[in-house]
Amino acid sequence: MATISIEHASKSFGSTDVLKDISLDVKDGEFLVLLGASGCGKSTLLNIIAGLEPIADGIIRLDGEVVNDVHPKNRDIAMVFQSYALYPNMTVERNIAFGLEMRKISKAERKATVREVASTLQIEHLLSRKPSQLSGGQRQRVAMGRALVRRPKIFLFDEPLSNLDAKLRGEMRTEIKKLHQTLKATMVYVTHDQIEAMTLADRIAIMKDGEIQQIGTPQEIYSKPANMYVAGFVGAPPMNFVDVDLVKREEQLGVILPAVLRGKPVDYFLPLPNSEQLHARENTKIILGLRPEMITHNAFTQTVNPEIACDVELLEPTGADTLCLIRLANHPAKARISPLFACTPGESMTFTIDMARVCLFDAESEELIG
Amino acid sequence: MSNPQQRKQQMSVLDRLQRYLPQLVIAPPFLLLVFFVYGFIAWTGIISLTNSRMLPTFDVQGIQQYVRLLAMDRWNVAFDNLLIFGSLYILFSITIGCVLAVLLDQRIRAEGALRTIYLYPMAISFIVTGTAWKWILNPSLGIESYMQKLGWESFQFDWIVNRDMAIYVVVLAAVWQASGFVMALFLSALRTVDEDIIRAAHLDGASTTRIYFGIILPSLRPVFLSAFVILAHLSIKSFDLVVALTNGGPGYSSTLPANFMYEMAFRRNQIGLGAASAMMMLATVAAIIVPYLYSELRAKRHG
Repeated sequence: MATISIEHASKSFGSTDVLKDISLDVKDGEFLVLLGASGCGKSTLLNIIAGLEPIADGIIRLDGEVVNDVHPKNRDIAMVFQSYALYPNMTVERNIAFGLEMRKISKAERKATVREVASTLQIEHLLSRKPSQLSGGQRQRVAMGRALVRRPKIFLFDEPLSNLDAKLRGEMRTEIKKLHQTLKATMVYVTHDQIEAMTLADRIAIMKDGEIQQIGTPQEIYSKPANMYVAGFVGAPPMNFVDVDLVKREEQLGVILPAVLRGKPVDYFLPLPNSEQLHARENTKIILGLRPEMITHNAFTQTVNPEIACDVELLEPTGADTLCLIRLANHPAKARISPLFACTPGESMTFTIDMARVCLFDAESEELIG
Repeated sequence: MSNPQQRKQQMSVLDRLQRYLPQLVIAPPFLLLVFFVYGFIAWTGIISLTNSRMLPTFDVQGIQQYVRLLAMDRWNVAFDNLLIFGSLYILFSITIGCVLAVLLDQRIRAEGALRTIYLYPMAISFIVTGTAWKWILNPSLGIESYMQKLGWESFQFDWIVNRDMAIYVVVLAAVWQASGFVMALFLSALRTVDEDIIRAAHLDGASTTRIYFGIILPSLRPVFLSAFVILAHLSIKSFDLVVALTNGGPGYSSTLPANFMYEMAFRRNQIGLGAASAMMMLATVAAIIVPYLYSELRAKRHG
């Protein structure tokens, strides 16, 4: 059992508030990712869980026990750092064994445990080397080994993969996920990479300016983002935001989407399927959030979704899909279609809009309204 | 108007000049260096093999000056003093400097001011250091008389006039001067240590002392080596501090080889003997510097 519970934690460096009244619960065995741009306070939050930084206000509990004043070494936590933080003067073997050595575990037992961890991570052949003789990926593995060897209740990862090249990052991501599945330990993982967050997390907490914007499963975050910041941060290419008017036509509530067809502006009326809560906002401006895959080619002759025809300015083939640059309400937007249906740039084509999945945001507060 | 062919030739002269410019600029200082440093080392080497007295002669006699030198009590005292002075000076400067650096590294208040205070002695010339410490340690002027005036009648601190202890006074003053410099050296190196390493070690359960002595200081091996080499050559060429502080006395009990060399070559008309002692000092420096340079260059080639 290892749960983390943070209640109303806040922290400031000088006059800047890095954490503002954060409350967060991590369940036993859960993989929680703290996601956010640099400077959003995610690393500070991780350091607070580890006990490396004190909190100004609030309570932090591990397994229900308040640990505000417990020294990091007594929290039974291991952490993997972005810079790996290996001890440069020690061999890989001693690096991994150091935590055990400090906990007065016998030499023979230490050796056996280190061997075991090294074989899981496939670094047995590196044990006698110094960190300076290792490549980035190997150092990363040693850093993981150092965390694993103590079998702590909780693992903390501080952007562990951001110093690796793309291919290695992908491999290590898979290994971390496997590791979580075999160990079933509680893990908190800090990253600014939304793909890492989506692939690894049981739940994601998105942070901005020291506040948690939304906590939820990757799917919830992706399909029901709490606000425009979250919606724009998660997903690549990012969600298209279009300023639209909410109007009623033939007893049906919908939005007016301005597009461009053969160089001339045209307005399309898109009926909203689940519009019960929106009646109060009739005839106001709202923001329509469309992920690129919600604007796509019409693969079927019959469709319930509304269609729009508009000019395609540019094509970006990515292999699996082709991205079309179109113009909606005078702003560039991206549509994702199959390469089979791609037209040539400058031509116009017909797209269907998946109205059941669109997100609507308040124009003022930028919060999700439907 | 010059025709194209002439112009081409002019260009090629300029081109050639440009190509050889670095060599042309470097050559004069290089030649001066060869002549005045290595030339005079060779010259001193030759003189040490002659029986030159007041004026140099070039009548090579063999190693008799070295035989004479090694039989002289004055030289042996000076060389023993160098061993005592050198080892204690290096040991204490590095230890004190290192401890000061570790303490200053704890993100304390007024660090900048403290750092300057500790580093400042290095900015003072050895003559000033020597003179000041001479007054402080003088039994009838300094600490001893002060403590006695305060009422501690039996207080004694007369190392500076004690034959057996005078060399330790030189160590004291030299350590006072150099430890701040060593501290600055270590502090700058400590600042480059990744903070995450300290955090990781905290999580691993190591105490702060253990982190410094088990992880951080061992990883500063190159800094120890630099400090050692700088202090070692400073100690071998120490001259002015002794002149100002004890003037080699009482008797010749606190002379160092450099003082011996000066005494022989320029005061007692024993240029051959002085040259021989200078060569001995060169050999001592070389014994320290050459392995250092060798290991440095080798590390770079492998690095």
